[in-house]
Amino acid sequence: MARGRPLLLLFFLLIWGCAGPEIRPPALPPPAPPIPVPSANARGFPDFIVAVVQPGDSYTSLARQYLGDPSMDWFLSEFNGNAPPAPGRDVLIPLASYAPGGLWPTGYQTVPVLTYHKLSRNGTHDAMTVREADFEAQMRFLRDNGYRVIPLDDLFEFLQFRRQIPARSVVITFDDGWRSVYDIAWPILKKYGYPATLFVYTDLIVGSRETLSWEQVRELSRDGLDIQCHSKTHRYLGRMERKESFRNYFESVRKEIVESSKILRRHTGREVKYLAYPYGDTNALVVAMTRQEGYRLAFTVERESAPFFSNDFRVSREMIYGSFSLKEFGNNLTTFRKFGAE
Amino acid sequence: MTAGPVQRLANTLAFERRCIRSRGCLLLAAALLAGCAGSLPSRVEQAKGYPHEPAAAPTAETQDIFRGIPGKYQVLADAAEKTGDLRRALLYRNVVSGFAPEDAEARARVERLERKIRVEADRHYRAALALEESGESAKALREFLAVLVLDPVHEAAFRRVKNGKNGKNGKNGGAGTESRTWTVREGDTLRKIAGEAYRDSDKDFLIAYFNHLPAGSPLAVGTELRLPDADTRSSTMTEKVPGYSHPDKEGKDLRNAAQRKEDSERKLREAEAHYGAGMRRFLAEDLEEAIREWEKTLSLDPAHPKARRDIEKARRLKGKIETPK
Repeated sequence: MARGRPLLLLFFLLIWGCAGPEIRPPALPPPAPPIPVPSANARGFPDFIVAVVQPGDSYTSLARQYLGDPSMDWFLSEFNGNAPPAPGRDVLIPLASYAPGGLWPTGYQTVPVLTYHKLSRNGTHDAMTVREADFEAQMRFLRDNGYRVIPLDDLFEFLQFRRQIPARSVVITFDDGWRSVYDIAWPILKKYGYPATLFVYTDLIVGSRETLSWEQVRELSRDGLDIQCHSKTHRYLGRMERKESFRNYFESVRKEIVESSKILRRHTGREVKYLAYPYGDTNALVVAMTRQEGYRLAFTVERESAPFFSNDFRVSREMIYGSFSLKEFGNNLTTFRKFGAE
Repeated sequence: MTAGPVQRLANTLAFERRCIRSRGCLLLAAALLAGCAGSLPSRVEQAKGYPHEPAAAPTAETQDIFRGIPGKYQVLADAAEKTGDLRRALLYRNVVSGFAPEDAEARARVERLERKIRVEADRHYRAALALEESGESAKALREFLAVLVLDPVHEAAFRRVKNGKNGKNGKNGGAGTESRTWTVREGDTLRKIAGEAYRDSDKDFLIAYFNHLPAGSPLAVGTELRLPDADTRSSTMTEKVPGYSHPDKEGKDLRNAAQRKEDSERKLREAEAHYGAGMRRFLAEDLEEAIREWEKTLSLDPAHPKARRDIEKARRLKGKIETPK
C-alpha cells in the first residue's frame, strides 16, 4: 500500500496541474521501469496503468483501486470509450488528466450553466418562476440522461484547462435570493445530491414572505449551498446612467461588487469568488474591476454552454424559464461541440 | 530512479511551486477531490464519438494475463495514428514499449511519434499565429486548439485562446481582461498619463486604483503601470424576457409593499389607540379633547368606521352645551 502512495500523489498532482510549464527535454529519456501497483492484475508505468479486469470489477471499483477515488469512475469509463469493463479484458488507466478542459481531437466539451430564479408550489409560473413539479422533472431528467452536476469550483478548474471533468457536466445556479430556493429547490437538490450556487443580491435579503432572510441564507450555506455574489442593489453594472458622472459610476460599481461580497462573507464565513452580473450586463471597465477586486469568474446570461476557452469574466449561462417544456429544457444541455460544426 | 519519473517529478514540483504562489491550490485540489462529484450515483456516460478502443478478445485464461497486450496495443496505436489521434497513439505505443522494454523498435516508434507530435504542434501553432495576424480569429482559434489537442501543456497556445481576442467572446470579450502597460517616464504624472491613455486626465484615479497606488505617492521613472480598458459601453447581449419584470424592480416593489403594509398596520393600530383615548375623553365629558383624538384617528385611518360619526355626535353635544338657551 505504501509503495502505491507516491503514485497516487503523482496522479493527483498531475490531474490538477496539467497546464504546467512547457518542459521539453533535449534528449528523450530511456524507457522507465514499471511502477509497482497494488495488484497482481495490473502493471504500472509512469503515465498509465494497464489492469486486467477481474470478475465483479466496475469502473468504480477500478477507480477506487488504482486512482484511490471511486468517484473518478467516469474518467476511466470515458477514456475507454464507455464500454463496460468485461472480465479478462484490459483497461488502460491514464495517470493524468487525459483531456483537460474536455478538449478532444474531434471537438470540445461545453458546460451548461443553468440559471433559475424562483420556484412555485401552487402551479403559477412565468418566465422567472418554475413550478416545483417541472423543476423536479428537470433534475430527474439530468440524472436519467447521464448528466453530472458539478460545483462551480470544478467549473473554475475546467475553465483554467487544468482539469478534466465528466463529459456531461452541468452547473446549477440560482439568482437573487428568493425564499422558494430555501422552501422548494434546495430540498429537491439535496435529494439528488446535486451541488448548486446561489447568487445573492444582498439588498433583497429582507426575510419577507417571498425573499430569504439572512438566517436562511446562513442555514443554506452551512447545509452546503454555495453562496456567491449578485451585487448589492441589482443595478445594471454595464450602463452608466446619463446623469451619472464617471467618478460616481465607478464608485457605484465598486460598491456593488465589494460591499455585497463583504456582507456575504460576514454572514456565511466563506470566501466569495464568483460574481453573476445583474441582468448579465457588463462592460470592459466592470470586467477589469471585477478582476481587480479578486473575483475568479463572472457570469453573463448569454444562452450557450461554456467551453474551457471562455473569457473568465464573461462565462455564459442559460436561463431556464417557467414556460419551458422538458424538451426545451433539454435543448439547453449541449455538452460537446464537434470541430467544423460550430 | 530513471529520467522518466524524474522528469515527472520535476513537472510536479514546478506545479507545486506555482501552486504555493497561487494561494495553496493543493488545499483546493484536496477540497475538490473531496467534493468531486463523489456523492453522485455512478453511471455509464453515453458515448461521445471520440476514438476509443475497439472490442478485443479476452487475454485472460492464459498463464500470463498480459500476454496479448503488446500486440493489441500495436494495432490500436496504428489505428489511432491513422485517424490523427496522435496523443492516444503515443499512449498506446508507450504501452507496447512498456511491456517490452528491451524492444528497441518499439522504443524507436515512441520516439518517432513524439517527434511527429512536436512537429505537428509547431505547424499548427505557426499557422495559428499567421491567421491571428491576418485577423481570422475563428480559424486561429481552431488552430490553437489543434495545438492543445496535441500538447495540452503548450502554455503559449493556451494564453492565446484564453481571455484573449481569439477565445470565446473574442471581439469585446478580451476587453477588460487585456490591458496595456505604460512605463513611467521622466515628468509623468497620473493626470498626464490618464490624459494620454484615457483621453481624460480626471481618470487618474483609475490608474491609481488598478495599480494599487496610494494617493499622492510619487511615480518612479521606469515603473510599469497596468492600464486596463475602461470602456463603459455595455457589451453584453442581455436576453429579452417576455413578461418579466426585472428582479430588482420586483425586489424593490416587494420591499416597498412590505414596508407599506407595515406602515399601514402601524397606522391602524395608532388610529385605534387614538379612538380609544377619544372615547375615554368623551366619557370624561372632555368633548374638545375627544374630538381632537378622533380627528387623529381619521387622519391615520380615513375609513375608520366610528370616528367620523362620533366626532359629529360630540360636535352636536358641544354645540348644545355652548349655546345655552
